[in-house]
Amino acid sequence: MQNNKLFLLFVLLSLGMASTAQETDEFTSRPTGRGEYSLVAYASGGFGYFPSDKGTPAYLQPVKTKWNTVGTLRIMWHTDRLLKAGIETGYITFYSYKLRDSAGRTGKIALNATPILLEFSMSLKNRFNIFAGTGLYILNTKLDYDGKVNSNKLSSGWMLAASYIYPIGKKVGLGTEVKWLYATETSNGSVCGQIQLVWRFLKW
Amino acid sequence: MKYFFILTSFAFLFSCRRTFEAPIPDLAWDNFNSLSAVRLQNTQGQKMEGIYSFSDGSLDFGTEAAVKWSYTAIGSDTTYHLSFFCQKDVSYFICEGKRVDSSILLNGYWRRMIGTETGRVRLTITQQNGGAKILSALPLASTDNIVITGVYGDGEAVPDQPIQLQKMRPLFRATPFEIIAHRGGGRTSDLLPASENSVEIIRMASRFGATGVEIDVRMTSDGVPILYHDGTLNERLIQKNGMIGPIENYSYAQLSALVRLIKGERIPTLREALNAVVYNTPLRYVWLDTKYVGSLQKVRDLQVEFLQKATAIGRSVTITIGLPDRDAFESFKKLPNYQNIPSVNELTREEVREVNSPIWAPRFTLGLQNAEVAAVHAEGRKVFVWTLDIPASIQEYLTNGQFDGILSNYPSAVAYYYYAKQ
Amino acid sequence: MKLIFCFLFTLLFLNTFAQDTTLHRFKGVFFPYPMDRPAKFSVGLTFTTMPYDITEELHFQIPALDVHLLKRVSKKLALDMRANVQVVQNLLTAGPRWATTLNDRFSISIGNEVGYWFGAVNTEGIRTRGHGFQNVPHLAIGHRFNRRVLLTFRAEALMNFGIKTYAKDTELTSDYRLFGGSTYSLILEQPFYGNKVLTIGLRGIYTDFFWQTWSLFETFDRNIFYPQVIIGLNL
Repeated sequence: MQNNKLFLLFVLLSLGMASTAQETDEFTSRPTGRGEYSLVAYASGGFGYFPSDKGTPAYLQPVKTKWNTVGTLRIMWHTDRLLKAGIETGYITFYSYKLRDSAGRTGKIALNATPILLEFSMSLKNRFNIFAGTGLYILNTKLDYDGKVNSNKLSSGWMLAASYIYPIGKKVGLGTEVKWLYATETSNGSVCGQIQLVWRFLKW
Repeated sequence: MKYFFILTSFAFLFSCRRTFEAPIPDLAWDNFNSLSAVRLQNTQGQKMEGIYSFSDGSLDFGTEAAVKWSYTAIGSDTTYHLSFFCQKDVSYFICEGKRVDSSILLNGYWRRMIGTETGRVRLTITQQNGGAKILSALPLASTDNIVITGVYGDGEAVPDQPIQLQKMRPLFRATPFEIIAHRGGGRTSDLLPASENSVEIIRMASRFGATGVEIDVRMTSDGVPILYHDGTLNERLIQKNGMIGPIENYSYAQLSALVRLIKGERIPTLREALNAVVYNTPLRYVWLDTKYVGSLQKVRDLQVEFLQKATAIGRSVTITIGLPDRDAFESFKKLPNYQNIPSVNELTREEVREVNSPIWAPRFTLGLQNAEVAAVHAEGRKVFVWTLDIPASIQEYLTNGQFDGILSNYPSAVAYYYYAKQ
Repeated sequence: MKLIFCFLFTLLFLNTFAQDTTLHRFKGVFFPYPMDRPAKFSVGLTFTTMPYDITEELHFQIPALDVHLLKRVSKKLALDMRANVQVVQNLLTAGPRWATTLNDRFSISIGNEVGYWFGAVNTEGIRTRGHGFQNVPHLAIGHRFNRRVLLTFRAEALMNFGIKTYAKDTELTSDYRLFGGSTYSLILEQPFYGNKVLTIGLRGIYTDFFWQTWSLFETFDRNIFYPQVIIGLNL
């Protein structure tokens, strides 16, 4: 239920920002002119799907939740070239599962991550962009079995994404993004589908 | 689009991260498993020990092998193994032995440790080639000849490559020397049949040539000493289950119930590990490598308990608490009467004297240090060097060094170079 | 992993539809092309992911400064010089590279680099040092896209010899791995900002011995995989 609230908040915020955009020019990810630079924020929310069956060993009789919420924030430096650079962070639950040990006792494990990634992006068409990045993931286990444990570890990792951005103003766009987030330490990767608010908040 | 396919094919090339495995082959051998085949007795197996020369098989295994008999005792069931520690490329055979009439059959596998090569070995000692002498109740005379013949093969293939070995001389045993297997017998990355720091690998260590083991001790969040090397739960050591981060974050109940090591074992407690050493193996030395910061009292209590248990069953076992850094050193000094507690000290010679460690353990990268080793010997202490894996260095440290023990991931290589000394 | 690489390469491929100006023409130091200027220079970083088999729990990407200079000898011949610097351990390579065009879009190069790596660390006051030589014959094929974005595939054979390590003057290791491995790289060089060209590359290293791990004294005779990311700026 809390996730639904977050989602609604995100949509309302997007529509609100869109309604304030009065300019006739449309937002674009392509270079706006030679020597023109800008910073663009991408706020995204949605769901991640964890496709792998690894990570939930059979001896724990797991009941896995493969769909989980994911929220990310990205800042990209748009140059007068098609290639862009930036950083991204956020929070994702890779997967969680209920378990039952050999004695019949039950518990729950969730593996979450906060990525901190350096990214490069390319605008392929006027509204279509692709992204690739590498960096750190702060991995987090939440265990509830014979007591609760909250345990963290750093990992290197990757991301890949493709987004379609529909302009709703000169500085603002609303998009959808398909994203792959992957942490090497645990070989965990999720495919995410997100709705995205894009805002060119600084231009020079 | 053609470029897309070219590039994705390169992508496929890149993504081919090889995973290495060296599984023990299926050891079924009809002759060996026949009803007429009877397990060898301890006294018979010991007669086969010695340095043997290869006349067939030297291309893969070198010129010589040191042959050593060992046991694993679990309850009333004792299993004996005959190990061949070969001169070339850290290779060895591990066989079980049976008698059929007056001949001896040896069935097992070989392994090249620095690679992944393995396969079956089937050997025979016929009645005329020494089988009868080995099986008789009389001791072997120094003139008695033993010739071992047989075949070996790659992987699961039917073995067809010839091996012949002839006994040359007895094993060298002139000086007491400890061959200490790292992490209970070897690292998980060495692709052994059991995971590092498991009870199962400790039970195998003697087969790999070890006379002692080094094991890594950490503490769970509820204060149970366990065996685990790394600072965190990770895919290198455990089967992936979503639990990550420092092992000290988790209780023993959580680790025991939810975590399995790579080969499926549970993370053992230090108590279970010492129990295996004392009751299941011929190992005579244990190096408890302290991997956590905190009180050593629980480790000390277990050290006392198992030294007493070993003595009670007539076994001579030395158990030392490892002091790898200043944190462990300071924790050790908080133990009552610490100067009388057996420890193995990796710090300076001054710190060895300060806590009266009976063993100094310098890293091998510090060199032979013959003068320093002699000075420590003069104080009545021993010197073990760690962690020595390069065969040429093992030979160098055994030939020109004055050490009393070597810690290695390849105890079979140390065993070969030690027992082959003349 | 496979999915990731497929996706990333697709991205690199699609990226090649970028724009360009004449300022950037053939500025890439990896791109196999006859020299159209006296020298080409790039500075950047390589990030090599260390495998569990070698560095155990330290499963990180290790950065190294990567300096690359291509000096014209004749139109088709260049001297290729490169330094991979981590201060405590470094690799220097140099060698000739011969490049020619096959047609308007494709070009190739062959070359051979001889490298020397060296490093030293202090343990309890004892200086442990290592050094060794590499011979790296290499072959590259490049494709120039419509707007002169440069894509290079490069394959190298790794031959390691004279691997020696010492504790003070005691020799610890003396080894060689003549056919020790191979590497496969896919490198994109394209305009970034101003007249600067950005290099993004992926390099898969399969080797028995990787020079950055000399101080671990590993003995494995296995072709272990080290993925490497190359990021550079051609100045």
